[in-house]
Amino acid sequence: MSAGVDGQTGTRPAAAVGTERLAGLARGARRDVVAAVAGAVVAVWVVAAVVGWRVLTPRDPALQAPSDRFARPGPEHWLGADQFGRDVLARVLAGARPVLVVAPLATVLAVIVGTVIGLSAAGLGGWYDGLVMRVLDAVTVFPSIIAATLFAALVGRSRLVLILVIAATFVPIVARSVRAATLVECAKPYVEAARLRGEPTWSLLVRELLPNVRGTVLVEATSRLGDAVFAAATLSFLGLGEPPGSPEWGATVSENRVWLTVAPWTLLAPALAIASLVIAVALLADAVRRRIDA
Amino acid sequence: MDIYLLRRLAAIPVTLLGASLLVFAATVVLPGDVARTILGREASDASVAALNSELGLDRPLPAQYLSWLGRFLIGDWGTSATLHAPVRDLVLDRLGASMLIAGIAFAVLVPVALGLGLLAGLHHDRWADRLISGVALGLGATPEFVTGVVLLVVFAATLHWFPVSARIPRDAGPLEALWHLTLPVVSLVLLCTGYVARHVRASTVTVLASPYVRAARLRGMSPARLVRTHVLRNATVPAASALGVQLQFLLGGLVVVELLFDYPGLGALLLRSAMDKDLPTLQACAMVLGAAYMLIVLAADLVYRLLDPRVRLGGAR
Amino acid sequence: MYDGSSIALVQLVAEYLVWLDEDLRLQPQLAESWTAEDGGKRWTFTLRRGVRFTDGTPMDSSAVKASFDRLLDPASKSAAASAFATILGPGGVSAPDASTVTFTLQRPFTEFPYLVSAGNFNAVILKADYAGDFTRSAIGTGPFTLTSYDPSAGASFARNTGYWQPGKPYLDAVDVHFYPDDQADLIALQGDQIDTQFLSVASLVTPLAGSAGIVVDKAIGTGLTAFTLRTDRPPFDRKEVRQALAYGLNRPDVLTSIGSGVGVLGNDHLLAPAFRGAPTGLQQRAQDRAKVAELLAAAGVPTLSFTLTFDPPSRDYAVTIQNQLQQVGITVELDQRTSSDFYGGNQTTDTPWLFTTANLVAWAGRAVPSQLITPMVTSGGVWNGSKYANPALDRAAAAYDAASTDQERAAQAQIIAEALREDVPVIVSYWSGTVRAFNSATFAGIRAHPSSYVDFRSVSRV
Repeated sequence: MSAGVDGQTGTRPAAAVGTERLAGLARGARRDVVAAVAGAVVAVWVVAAVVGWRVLTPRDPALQAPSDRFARPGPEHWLGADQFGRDVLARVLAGARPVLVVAPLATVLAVIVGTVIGLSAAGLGGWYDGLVMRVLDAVTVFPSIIAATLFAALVGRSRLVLILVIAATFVPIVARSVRAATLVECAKPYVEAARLRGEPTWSLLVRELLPNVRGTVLVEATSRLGDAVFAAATLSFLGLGEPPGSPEWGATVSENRVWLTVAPWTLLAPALAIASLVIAVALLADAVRRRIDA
Repeated sequence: MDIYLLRRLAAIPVTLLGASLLVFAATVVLPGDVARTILGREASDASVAALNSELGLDRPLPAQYLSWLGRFLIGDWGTSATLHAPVRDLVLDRLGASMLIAGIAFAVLVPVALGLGLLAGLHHDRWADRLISGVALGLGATPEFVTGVVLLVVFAATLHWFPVSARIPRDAGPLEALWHLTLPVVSLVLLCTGYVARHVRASTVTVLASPYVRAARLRGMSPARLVRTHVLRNATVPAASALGVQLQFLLGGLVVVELLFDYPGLGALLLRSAMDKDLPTLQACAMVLGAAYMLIVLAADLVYRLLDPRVRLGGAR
Repeated sequence: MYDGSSIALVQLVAEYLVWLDEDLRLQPQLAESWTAEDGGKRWTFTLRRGVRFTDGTPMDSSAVKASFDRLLDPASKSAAASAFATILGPGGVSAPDASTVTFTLQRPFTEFPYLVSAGNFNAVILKADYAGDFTRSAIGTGPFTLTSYDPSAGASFARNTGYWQPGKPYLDAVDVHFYPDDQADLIALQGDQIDTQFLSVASLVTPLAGSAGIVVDKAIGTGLTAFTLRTDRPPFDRKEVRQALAYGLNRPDVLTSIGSGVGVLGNDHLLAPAFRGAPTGLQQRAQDRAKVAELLAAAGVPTLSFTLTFDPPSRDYAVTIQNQLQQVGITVELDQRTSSDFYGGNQTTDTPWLFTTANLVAWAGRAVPSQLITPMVTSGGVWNGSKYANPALDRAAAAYDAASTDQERAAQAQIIAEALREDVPVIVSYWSGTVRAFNSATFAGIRAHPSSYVDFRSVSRV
């Protein structure tokens, strides 16, 4: 990958910006041990989600075996068994998929919609920008978790609702962030030059501005991904989103709350799984942010 | 400043009205029969119809909404469909309980986050900073119920140092009450500390690098005095804005923490009434929570502006 | 009264004509004796003398008549009306003298005393001028009086010094704490904040038995979760398909997982072993994979899949059914609704609990089987979610109600049980027993009861 810098001040070919940044990121990640470990953890869960529990464990997470009810962690069940005798380890492995389907989809949706809104608001300006800002202000009236909870509780539980609700709560954040970054760019000479050239607005937005706010978009994407995992787990914990019997981690923690004193391993395993994933994603996001800011 | 304050205050009831309309629309459109919920499945259709009529639920929707609004404004918040108790007493009582936990959490959060952030900033790029920043980042990303569960398993279920339920017995003294609230407060604090501490750290580093501070150091001012006179004030102003952002997570986290620790707060009531389609309670909870949140955010914003006179009023454009 | 907790509160203060003990036997309470005439169509109850309400008013036939008239009034919103439907109507209660009450029924019903017993929890005897708000004017004849009530926190009761049973109750006071859910309740018991529970949940308390002085008393029960199948539309319009499901379930596993081992296996008919006159000699249905395949093939449905609808309390059972049936090749899709949604809607056209193809409905224990059979499986029964209509069963059910001897009753029960077991409109995998957890280090005399009643008269400190 070669990085070329255009002779003119301020503008660079879009592709060159992207690849140079990616290369820089890769180098940075390799240097940063913490980020590497975080990346490994995320990779483990992604593999578990993609490949599925069947490849990783002989035990079926849905298979009930009443004789194994509340079995303590041991050779038969490495992480113990729950109230139905289901293997906890198998359920934890199977629980990776729901969260790793919902969170990335919600993030991608939020980033796309938020970027479009933020970019267009800053680029077009005027009454449109004013309207967008008003609407964004209005939408953030309630704390996002509460709004998401209310909506999901009223509409009903399904993964699609979860994805839409989480995406909806992130769109304002992404939009504001992208808008701010775009405004900074708009003040630069190359934008003025493009306008004077008579370049159409949409072209200006997509061909000139968007590539230059890529960094912000990337930071937003990685930050929101961590938030999305957080939100997905929390909303499932509150009983919204996943169908009953799902091994999703948040839902499992909620269902097994009552066995706290009887079988704490049924709670600890999914809780620590969530913790490992969110922390790993957060550390990765932080590493990305540092590289981009540097 | 006054006009700004008035405008913000005036915006609150307008926004609340809009929110109430949304909640009303959502609850009405979706399935669930209030009278049936109250009377139970075995009551006759005739009784259910009679109760629905008595509650005014067979009237046209705009009439129902306006009637609800009118009664709400004079303080008649109706009766809960599932708890069979007056909504106002229920909601206000729960509000007090939630504000207690939120208040204690906030009171603990401020010094802890400030302290850790300052510490990290003063020792920036050394091991103390790395440790604090790393842990802060990790904890800030972890959902409250996860830290809560780990706390419960370790400190309540295994070590028995703290009770499993945060519910305060009726005759408990303040110390016993605090003992019950410790774990949920810690969960909330752990969640919010990270973000604030990192902001404090960032601004501390910036302030330390500023020529003003460097000059003072060269003049021979002791580090402690330096911290007190320059760093503290300049670094904590951005912290106020960070704290304001965290208020959102604090309030949102209440729902989760109340559920996890069996605490009878407003968040738990909101969730339960949403699931049970208990309209009167849901509406009241939404209104009270919304109002509390907006007032708190306004207060935080005002504090921030008071602390930092450099900030222009009216927003950037 | 709408739920288990309210019922328990009222039972501390008010009493019934007849008490029901842990073995579902009738015991005289406010009525000393009763006789039947006209083949069980007219019942005369003789009231106990000398009993007074806590405000001094004597408990007499006018109070009893008023209490029942209130329940039978169609304008009242009481759920008790359904217990008396087709049996006793308004105006059927008369009070010939101060100590006698006569009930004239609409049809012969030889188990009528159960309907005015604690088995019909609404049938408490209150003053004639009772206005309707129990929490404000809690006047009864019972062992305790209500001294304070806070709907979000709890209630307090003090000993009724004028109670008609000499020497009882032993306790001076009872403090009731309200908790929003079973888990909070359980945590309070473990934490010594409460000494016993009104409604113990078997799955939560049985693992705790033996630890920290907690004892779990067990009693028989007649509660069940009915797995209802609609017999009038595919795929369950074929009897073979319904039987296939019945043979696909592993009932002992269900009893262990869902019932925590407390209870007895069910045999797909509504005559729980705890009921007197319950049939014996019917082979207990058990899981039989070969038979499932055979039945499905015979019905021409080699692969079966359906949606199971339920509300949150039945969630674990639904997940278990899904898992068990998956192993015999039947696919179950789970459709969980909120309780208000599940029981809401139009009761005659679309309410989920009565109209979905397959659903789970939890039924609290009843004192007599006709309270399950009549509404659930007779033609046009008010809660007949399976739409089952079998004239032979209808006749047997009516004959059961009118049976004047135990033999006759048993014979009719046999007919009903065989029909239901064969046609399987409802799958009953087990009958829940009941449990009550309490702290044995401090109290004695706390018993579990088939209808979760709480009899604090004989409870004393250790």
